[in-house]
Amino acid sequence: MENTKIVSVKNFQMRFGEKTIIEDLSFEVEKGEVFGLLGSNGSGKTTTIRALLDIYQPTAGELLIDGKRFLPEMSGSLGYLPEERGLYKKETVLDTMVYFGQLKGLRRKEAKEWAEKYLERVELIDSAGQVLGKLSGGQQQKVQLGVTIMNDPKLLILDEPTKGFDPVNRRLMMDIIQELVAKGSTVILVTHQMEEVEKLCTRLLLLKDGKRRLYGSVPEIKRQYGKNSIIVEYAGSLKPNDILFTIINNTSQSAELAPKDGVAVDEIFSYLGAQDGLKVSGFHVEQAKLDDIFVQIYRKEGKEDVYA
Amino acid sequence: MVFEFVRTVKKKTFWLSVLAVPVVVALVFTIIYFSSKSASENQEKTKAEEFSVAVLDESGFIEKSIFDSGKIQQLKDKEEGIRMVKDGELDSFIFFPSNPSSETIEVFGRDVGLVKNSKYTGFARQLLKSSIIGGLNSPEVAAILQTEPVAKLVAYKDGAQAQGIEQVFVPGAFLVLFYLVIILLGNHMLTSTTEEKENRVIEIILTSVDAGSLIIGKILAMVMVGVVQISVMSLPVVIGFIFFRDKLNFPQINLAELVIDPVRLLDGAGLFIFSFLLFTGMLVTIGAVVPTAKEASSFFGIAMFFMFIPLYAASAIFTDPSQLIVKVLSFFPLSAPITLMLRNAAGNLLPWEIAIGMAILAVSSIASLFIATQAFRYGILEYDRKLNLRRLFK
Repeated sequence: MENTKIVSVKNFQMRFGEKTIIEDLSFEVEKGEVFGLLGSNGSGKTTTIRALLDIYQPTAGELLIDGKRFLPEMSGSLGYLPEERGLYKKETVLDTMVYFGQLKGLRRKEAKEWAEKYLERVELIDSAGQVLGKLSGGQQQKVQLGVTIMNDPKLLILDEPTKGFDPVNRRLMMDIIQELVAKGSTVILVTHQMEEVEKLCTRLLLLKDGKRRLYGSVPEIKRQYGKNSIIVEYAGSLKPNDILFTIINNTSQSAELAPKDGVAVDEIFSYLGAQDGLKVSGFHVEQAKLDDIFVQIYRKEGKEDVYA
Repeated sequence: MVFEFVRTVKKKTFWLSVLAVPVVVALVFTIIYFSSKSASENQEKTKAEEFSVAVLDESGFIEKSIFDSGKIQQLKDKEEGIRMVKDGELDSFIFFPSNPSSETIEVFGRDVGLVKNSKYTGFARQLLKSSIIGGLNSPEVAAILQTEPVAKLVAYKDGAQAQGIEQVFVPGAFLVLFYLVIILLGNHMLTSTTEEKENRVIEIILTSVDAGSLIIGKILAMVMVGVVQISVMSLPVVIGFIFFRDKLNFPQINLAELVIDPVRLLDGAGLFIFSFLLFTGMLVTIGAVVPTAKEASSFFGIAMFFMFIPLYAASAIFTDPSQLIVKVLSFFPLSAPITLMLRNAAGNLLPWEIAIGMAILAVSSIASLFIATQAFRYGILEYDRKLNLRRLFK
């Protein structure tokens, strides 16, 4: 039977001296999916990625890519954009791209051809011979992205990919990620940006203090941990009801209601319709947001500020 | 490795620093060449210049016949001679005291400049010497006194003929090479690691190359850079030695007389290799644990101080290697490279000392490379702060 898992982490533990960074972490990433690895600063996301790529030696556990421990020889099918990233500022654009292409196992000619094609796409071909340090920040980001996706990697690991990226390059990156996924690549997205997760990820893992707090598909997590809210547009007077709902926000013409446990949306709709002095002009259910779920998880232990 | 090499040799600052040395050396040689040429021309010119001389001889050594020609005037009164020079009637006046071996010969002359004034005293000495030699009956004795007698030394050590200064050159070459490596490559090695840290490129590289291979690649690239540097820098010296040896006052070295002792040659090579690895490991470690090149250079300075401290004890190292300080310097890993190479050049290393010294350097260099690899693996990712060294071993 074909293995559908591209990444498999079992009982991973990471300690630096006396400090435990990751404690007994297990998760899997399916081939072809966009997987979100989330958590606050210091929750262990980057450490997990570094251990997966054998940059750090794990204290215990097993971290496998395609059923094997990662080796530099496997870098040809990997695209990695670390959180702390940069390029050789004194080298030319083309030399830098060719160098990283060769590191990935491409021959010089192949790397050069790939780089030139990419530079044409991002309209930087005229700057191929220029020193990187002389390019604008946005242009350097494009080159950085090109270096990451050279050789159309099977597994793309992006650690805070849009950090520092301008809106144009952010859009370019999103397009490229979607293209690669369409071609069958798997993406692990390490991010703080919930919009990106909502838009791209199929499944996710939330780390908190080195421990797994949420893990599963996005709809499943929303169903399990999130509460839908009801947006009501109205005229007249909206009175609270302790049995059916709580009013979260209320302006003179609209309100956001949180249904009480076990109360169906229909019951609230019927209740509002029967109220004298209240005319409902709009009523819709809003899905739970991941952002709210994560804030809720962190708030429980007084760490909301860290996550924000 | 090739990228690292090309990246370094493509830098303008690299060629600026590399070419500055041969240009300065060539400039110095040119100045020496023209200075020595004009100095010898001046000497010849000065010799050819005649000047009027008067002599008062109380010693009785000056041959009387020289006054007969009339070129040298004989005076009876010292004050009169001084007055004549002062008034410009004479170019010079020489007073030979009764005992020139213990008393000073007094020379008075018309000032013709700081350098040219020396012709008066030179003439006075020559006059005394030739008068005395001329009075000898034996031409052999006269010849000995006129020329420097040739003496040849044959020294014996443990019953066998010992070698002279010729035996120092070959093992000493490793010391010179090590010095050049430190001076030329130290900064490149230090910045090649800190630069990648400052540029934030290392994490991507580490997914394609393991830390050990990367360090080896860097070391080999630096060796290639060093070969280029040494070749370019030594070019004017080689050209000067081959084509202008006499004009540039090069020491007369007969390559055929160089003594090559295979044991000391091997010892020198071994010491050099282990010292180079120790030094390299140390630099990589420094570069990996600190966040910036600026901070790295201050640690580099401390390491270099320990490396070169044996030069302060060079006298004891050459003349009395049994001293405790020499033993300590020989076996302390950081000072051992220079000390042992100096002693190997001087030929005062005992077999057990070279064995222990080599073992210490071998273990230290392996440990240094291990620490460097660990520091590189962990420290290179500590972008904004110093790495806690304890973390490397946990």
